[in-house]
Amino acid sequence: MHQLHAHGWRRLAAVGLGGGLLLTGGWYAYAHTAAPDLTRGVLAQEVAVTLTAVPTPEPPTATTQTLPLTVSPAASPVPGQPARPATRPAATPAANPNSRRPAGEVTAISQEPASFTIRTAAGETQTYRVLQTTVFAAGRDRPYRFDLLKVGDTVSVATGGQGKKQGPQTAEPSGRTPGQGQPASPKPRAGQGQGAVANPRAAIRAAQASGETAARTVMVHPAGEPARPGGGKKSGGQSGSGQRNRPAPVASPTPGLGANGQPTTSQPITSQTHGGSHGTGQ
Amino acid sequence: MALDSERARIAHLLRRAGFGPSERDLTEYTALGFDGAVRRLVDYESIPETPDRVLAEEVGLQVWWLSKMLHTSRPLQEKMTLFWHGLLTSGIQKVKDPNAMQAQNHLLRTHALGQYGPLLRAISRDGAMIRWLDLQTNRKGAPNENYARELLELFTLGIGNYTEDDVDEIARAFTGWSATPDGRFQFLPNQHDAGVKTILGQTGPFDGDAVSDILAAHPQTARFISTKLFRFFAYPSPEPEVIDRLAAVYRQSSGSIEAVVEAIFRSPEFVSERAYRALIKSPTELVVGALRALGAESVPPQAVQTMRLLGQELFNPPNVAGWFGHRSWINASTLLGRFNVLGTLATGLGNPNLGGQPVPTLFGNATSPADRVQRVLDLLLDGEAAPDERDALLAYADQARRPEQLKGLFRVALTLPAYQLN
Repeated sequence: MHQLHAHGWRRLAAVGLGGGLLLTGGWYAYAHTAAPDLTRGVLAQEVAVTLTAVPTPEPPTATTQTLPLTVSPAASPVPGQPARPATRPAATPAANPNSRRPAGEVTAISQEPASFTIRTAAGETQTYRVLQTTVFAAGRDRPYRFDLLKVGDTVSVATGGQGKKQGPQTAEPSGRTPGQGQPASPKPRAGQGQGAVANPRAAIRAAQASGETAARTVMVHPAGEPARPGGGKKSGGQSGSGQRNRPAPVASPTPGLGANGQPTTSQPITSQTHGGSHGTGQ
Repeated sequence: MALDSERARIAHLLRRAGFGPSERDLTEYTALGFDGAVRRLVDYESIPETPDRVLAEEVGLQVWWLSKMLHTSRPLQEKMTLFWHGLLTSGIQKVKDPNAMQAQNHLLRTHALGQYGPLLRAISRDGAMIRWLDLQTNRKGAPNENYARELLELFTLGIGNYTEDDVDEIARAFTGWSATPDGRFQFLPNQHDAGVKTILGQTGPFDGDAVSDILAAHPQTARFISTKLFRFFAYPSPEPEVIDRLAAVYRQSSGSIEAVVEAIFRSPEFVSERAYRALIKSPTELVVGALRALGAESVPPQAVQTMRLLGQELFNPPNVAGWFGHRSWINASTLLGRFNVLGTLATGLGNPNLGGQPVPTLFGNATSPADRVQRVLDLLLDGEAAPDERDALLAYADQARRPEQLKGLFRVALTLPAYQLN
């Protein structure tokens, strides 16, 4: 009886595990096929479009039927420019009242001083000061600007932090000037020329004194644009990182070269995490 | 010999110095002759810049840049921007600020053919680079060597030509170099180590700018950059004497990238048989080149997703060394992906959303199957194809009647091995 009981539990556990795997697999398959891309529908017809299999001149339309190059025309913000493809879906900030990045709909925008007010899903309103250093974005690879923000946009705001790690008050930010550092941006940065305060620390203090909070980064989902499937998280295609873990350098019998091609006294580095044939080879 | 005519040499030049010619490009540049074509490509400052057709704020950085490549009147400037993007690279995944990434892209474009020293100075002050290689955490007494190491290994000298002491000292020179949250350069004097350093045999109270100048003037940098450029523009394994010659041009011109690039284009090696179709097209070159050849007016947003699957997501390199390129571009998976994206572009011909010419216009006066095949080969492959490939195209063209079927002729030609090569 005890054995039968245990056997029954085992069977139940196995059924449960199998069901869980099926559900997980189904979810995985859905999640990885929800976003359209050009290589979906890779069928036998695709492979057949090679020189060895082209006796019949039927148009190879399998891919285009599933993935039309359809873009909706959008109004051009550049006078005289033709209409451009529709904007790509942007992230939709989650309207989670407990989020450390409050999200909500923009209800008011002020230019002097630069600020905007949002209403959260819980019905609360909050005003954020826009600093010269406030970063706007409308997606992982989509820059944005304060002057593009409009009432009705949905935003997610990260606050504070400006200047905390920027060292002492004697810091000397430099402008973007060609040849000196960064080139002149063709478009104004967030808040520039719109009443933004130049000194981040003073601006933060001023915002705090007036009961406002300084915005550090603002993720915008422009009104009228479709939400990106998956809650706005874009999957990273590759694992980029600027940091590498490096082994201790290994000495080489060949001396290093000095500024004039002369050997230097200490030992050169010859072994690193990857070889000397780094690709720039696009 | 595939480069035995002026027109073929200029088509080769336009594939390497740009993203491949449209039919109009080829006619215009051929009228200039090879020397004139090189001069026009290099002297792009004399040509008005093409206004952006789309804004990054609307379509994202990748489609914005691909659109610039598609429409540019300065193909070499965009190609050099792509070169630098692979060498002095940064990635959005870590930088997390598309504004800073776009600013870096503008910087690379501004300095595309300038002197290497000023470019090194500028990239060392670039907000995206500072964040990418952790310069903002490089402080007096607690240096972070990441930037110093990559500056030596990836940007200037290459492995084996510097010491660990050089890394340490260069890291000290860059202490206090930081950026504001919105990516502007910020020098923090209290964090800077102003002491004396010894770098590559030179001693002094160097800062980051001084280090950039020392490195740009180093003879090994001349060889390093010349090799990178030659491999990018000509073929993967240059002969030592070729690099000697180019390095001399670099040194004599005080690090002029323009001088080195022009010397590459005018070298006999560049138009040698060894160079012809010797490079595998990157996904960027493949997509933009096909769009230009087919006369497309816009970049389909889906191209970005496809390029990621093909191994190249612009603004997001796989690591600090950029994309490895060359043979790594093609494997069993990416080859099929290439066929798919090219097929989709070909069958999108005449689509009002993609733009471009309707199929009958692309064929011009060619009405017979043989003429149509030749026309497609002229547009895409310098008019050349192996006999068996031509026979297969003819077999297809013999039965193609409707415009939709004729698009298939382009699609098949785009999947030929030669089209995968630059």
